[in-house]
Amino acid sequence: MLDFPTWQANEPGHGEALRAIVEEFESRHEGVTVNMYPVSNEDFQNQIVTQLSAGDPPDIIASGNHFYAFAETGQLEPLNDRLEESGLLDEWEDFQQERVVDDEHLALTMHALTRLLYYNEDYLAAAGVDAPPTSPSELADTVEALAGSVEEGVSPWGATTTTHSNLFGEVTAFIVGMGSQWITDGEWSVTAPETVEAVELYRELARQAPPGLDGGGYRQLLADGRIAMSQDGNWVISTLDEVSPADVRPQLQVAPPPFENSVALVGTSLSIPAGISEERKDLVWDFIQIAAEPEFQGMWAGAIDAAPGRTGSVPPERVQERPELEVVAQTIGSAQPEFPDSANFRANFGEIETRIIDAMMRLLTTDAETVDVLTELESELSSITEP
Amino acid sequence: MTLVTDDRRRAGAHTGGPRRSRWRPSLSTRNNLLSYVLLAPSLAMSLVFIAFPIYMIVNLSLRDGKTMIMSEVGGLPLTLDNYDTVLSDPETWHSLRISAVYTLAAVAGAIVVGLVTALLIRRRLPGRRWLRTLILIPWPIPGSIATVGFVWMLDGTYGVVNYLLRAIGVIDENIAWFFDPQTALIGVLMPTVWSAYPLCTLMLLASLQSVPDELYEAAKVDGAGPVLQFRHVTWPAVQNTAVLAMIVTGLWTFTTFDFVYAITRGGPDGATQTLAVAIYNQAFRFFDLPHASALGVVTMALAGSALLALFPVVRRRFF
Repeated sequence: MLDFPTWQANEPGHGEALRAIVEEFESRHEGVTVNMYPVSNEDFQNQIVTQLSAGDPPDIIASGNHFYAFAETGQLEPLNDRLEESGLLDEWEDFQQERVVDDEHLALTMHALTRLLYYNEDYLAAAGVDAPPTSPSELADTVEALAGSVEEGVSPWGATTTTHSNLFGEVTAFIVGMGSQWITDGEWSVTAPETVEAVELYRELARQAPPGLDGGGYRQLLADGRIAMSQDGNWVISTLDEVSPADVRPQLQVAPPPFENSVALVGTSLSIPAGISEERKDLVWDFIQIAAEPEFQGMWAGAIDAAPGRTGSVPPERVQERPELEVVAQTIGSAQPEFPDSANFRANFGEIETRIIDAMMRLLTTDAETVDVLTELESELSSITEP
Repeated sequence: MTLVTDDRRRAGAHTGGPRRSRWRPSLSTRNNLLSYVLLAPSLAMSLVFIAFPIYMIVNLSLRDGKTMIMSEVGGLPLTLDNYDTVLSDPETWHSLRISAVYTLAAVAGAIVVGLVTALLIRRRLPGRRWLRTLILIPWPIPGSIATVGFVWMLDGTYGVVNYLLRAIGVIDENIAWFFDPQTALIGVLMPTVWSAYPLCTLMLLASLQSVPDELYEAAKVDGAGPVLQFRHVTWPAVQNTAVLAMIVTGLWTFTTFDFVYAITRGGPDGATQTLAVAIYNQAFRFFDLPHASALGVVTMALAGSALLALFPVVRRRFF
């Protein structure tokens, strides 16, 4: 039996695709079963790092942003030889490079994700806004118009407003979107004018969001028609299909983010742990290869409206029946990486993320000047690591 | 007993015989040896499950470098820098302050609720048995389940607590309990007190049941109302138990992790970051085990110092 913990086991889209891959693997390997079980995303990184470090890892290692912490343990098996032998790299998108550490491919990316603008077209129409915003200033104006027009119990903007890892991704989308990064040209750029401007806008909007909610909380409110607009991952489209009432779902639309740049996130990646037997490593590689087959690449990426790792895996008919995929493709095509090009940033991501989340919560819950909070944040980040 | 009898019989059998040159342990030595043999399993368990982890934590706290792999710890150089970092870090003292406020407030809340419920159960009310069961229900409920319930009840958008407070006119607008640094600790304290008070109820109820009804009747005859009865009859009877309940609840609360981490993860902006959460973050978010271990040792020292300071009070009351 192969152990396969994942935070996505029960997520809409991901869960169905993963179960299909598991079934296919089991049908091809008589007597071998895959024990796929859910672990909460917030606990996933800690559990897997602890298991990897203890030399008792699960067999199949899935990762999202957790990848850097897993790689830092030095307990992920390099896939270079297997990838070369299979020829997979020739058919893979460039974002696979995000999983290369010191020239070693430590995981195979399954798909790339991005962030989109979600809006309720009825609320926009009621606010006198004809089309979704296409620039930061239009975004600010639209949220202001919405704040003046939405009924009581509806919020003009949705965002994570509690101590949660989503905060990092949400504010980074604003910073990258408006042309900056946490690190630019080898220096911390937390107090760069573009970063400050982006964080100011993020703060202004997040203060219009219902307080104390994590991603799941405000997505539910968007699905229920109690949030007029938000920026969220493309994978939320399938969540909305599942949880939004029939009278609200048709009003929920997606558009490219209203920024100069969009953000590309590497979605799920699959790795082989170094601390298992060679026989098990071969089995896990078989599992990864099945997940990399065009059929399953198309199924998985299609189910969560993502860009597949294997080029051109989403069938044209799926794109036709799902117009949102066109928006995703258009957004990812010009996207910038979510993480700055810094090995130190990735290696210390856990602590850096925590400091950024705390600083964002300080911005949301106090009247402190944005630039002061960011100056303090930059000082904290500098004390953690060189950029 | 059999050992002693056998020993005497053997001793008698040799009376008058040639004295053996071989050293033979005395009876008390052999009894002592037997005691140690019988204690050995517990001692071994204590060494494995208490002493060894403490040794590992102290050892880790003296190592320079980050690692999560235990087999690599011995290869790291020794240093006192982790203690220097921990003791000079304002976050340590911030976490200590949060821990102190959290512990004191939880103890006070648990004692008050425990005493009220104990007094309630002691009265001969209809359905008293059901009431006892109901009041003790929070005790066996796992922290994670209690957390889910309280997060839902205290939700800033649709929580029932806000609804009730609005309905009775205490607040005009919903409170985002876990969003505002001013209220986050209060929000976390609610499930903590809810989970801690049943132990206080049980302990105080046991004390209350030893108070004879005649004392209350005599107090009534002397004209004492409920307040004076509590002050002169109830409280003197339960105060020793209350001190013990405070110490037990205080120790439990000081190290409580599940409620705080599951609800706020130490946020917003560190407003609920107790020492337990700070240690967890260092170990499992920043993967800096030596720093986390040094913080753990400092926490142990602080808790130990508090206990030592309280020891005279405990000894005076109980020994």
